[in-house]
Amino acid sequence: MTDNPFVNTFLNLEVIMQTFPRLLAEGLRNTLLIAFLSIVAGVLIGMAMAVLLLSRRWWLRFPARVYVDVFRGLPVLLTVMLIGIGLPASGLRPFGREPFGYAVLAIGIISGAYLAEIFRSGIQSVEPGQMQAARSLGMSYGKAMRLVVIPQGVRRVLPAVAGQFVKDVKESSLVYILGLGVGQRELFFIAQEEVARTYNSSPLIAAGMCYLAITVPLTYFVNWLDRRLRDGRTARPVPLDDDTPAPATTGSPR
Amino acid sequence: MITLENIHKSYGPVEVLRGVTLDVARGETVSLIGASGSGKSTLLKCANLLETPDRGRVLLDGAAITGPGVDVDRARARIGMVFQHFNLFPHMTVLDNVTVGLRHVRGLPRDRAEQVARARLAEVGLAHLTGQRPARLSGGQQQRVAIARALAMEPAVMMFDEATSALDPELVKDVLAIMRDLAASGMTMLVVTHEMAFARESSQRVVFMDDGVIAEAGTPEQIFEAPRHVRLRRFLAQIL
Repeated sequence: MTDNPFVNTFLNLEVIMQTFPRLLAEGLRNTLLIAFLSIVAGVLIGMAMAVLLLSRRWWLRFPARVYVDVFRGLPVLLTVMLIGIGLPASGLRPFGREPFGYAVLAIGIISGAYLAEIFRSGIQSVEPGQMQAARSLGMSYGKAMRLVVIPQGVRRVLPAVAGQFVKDVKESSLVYILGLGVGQRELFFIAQEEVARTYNSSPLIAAGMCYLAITVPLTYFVNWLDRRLRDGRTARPVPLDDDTPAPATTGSPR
Repeated sequence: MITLENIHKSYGPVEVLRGVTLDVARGETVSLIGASGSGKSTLLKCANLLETPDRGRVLLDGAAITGPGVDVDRARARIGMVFQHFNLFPHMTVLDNVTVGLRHVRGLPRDRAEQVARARLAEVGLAHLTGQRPARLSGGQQQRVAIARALAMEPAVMMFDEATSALDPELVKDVLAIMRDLAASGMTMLVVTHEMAFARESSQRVVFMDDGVIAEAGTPEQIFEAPRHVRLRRFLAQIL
């Protein structure tokens, strides 16, 4: 090993190699699990809130507005502690005594608040003519939203949604303050345990590499999905024989 | 077939419709003409309740479709609407644009819906484009898909809201030809149009709207050969 203190502190290969097996065996799986479940919860909450935010009835809009403002406005750490420590302490224990479920709920609730605004802006950007055309076919408001407006709205904000997913993956690290038990520890928890044990920061670098291995491909995956939906899976060049293509008035988002 | 009784509609302080009464008989084609802002399009939107009239009634086949307790969605499914800007669903293929109403409103199974959709698309000459996205089609093709989409629902009435106004001149004739055939086939039609040739040749009745009311109505001969209202004369002088 080198004597350079900088290299030794951050890039101590020996420590990194000791940390990686634990990160991969336990941490990666749990980080992915917390992040995935939080994202699912966030998408469900966010979509429901977005639809409520767009309601014409103020008493449906109002609670959604409060929800979004509160959970976008609070520090993530505070929300995680409120839900992860406060809820079970108060006797509300939907997920038992293990902190895992509360961790997922906390990150999901925060994610849902952000996604609500992202989805709302996407849905609102869809031309009113789309809703009118759907209604003129006899669809109810709900059907028109589900089949016509929401699918288009969500596609327009996919890059922003990807950004939120990346945030959710990173924020899953904050659940370490809930004191996860053996078998439930995620990447950051394991890394900081190793830091405390070795007095060396290299485990953080190892954990960081694991996070990047999740977040960077995630971004590229959603961007790829975005491109594919934009071009349309079924769009093949076909001779347009009887007249020339007009500007795509109903096509790609403006 | 469709009756509008004393329709009033305001947007804020602007009174767009000031008591319009109009009856379209079964099999009849009525053309609505008039300057922009005269209330033609708003009248059409009120007729299929995309806009709620402030006052007045709409009757479809003798039954009121305005007022409390009416299943508006059901009524709308019987009124076909073609928009100026086509309003095709860009995230669906041409075929899905036509089948979506059949499947999710009429409740047809997928294969039956596709059968109907292919037949309607063939009638507008687009059988070869079923797998395309609307964005790849020309304006004229898009509007023909929109007509097929509306016709697939087997509407009792077809309404056209300036269906050719957004098209390049050379694409107008295909869409007009389809509308003409449809009128000749006995479809009940209410057509907002700036195409005076269509109004003259394909409609039984022409209605001139001015400032939110019907200023003059009559046969195409009466309207185009012997206009009485001074505003109608001025309008025709400008447009012909």
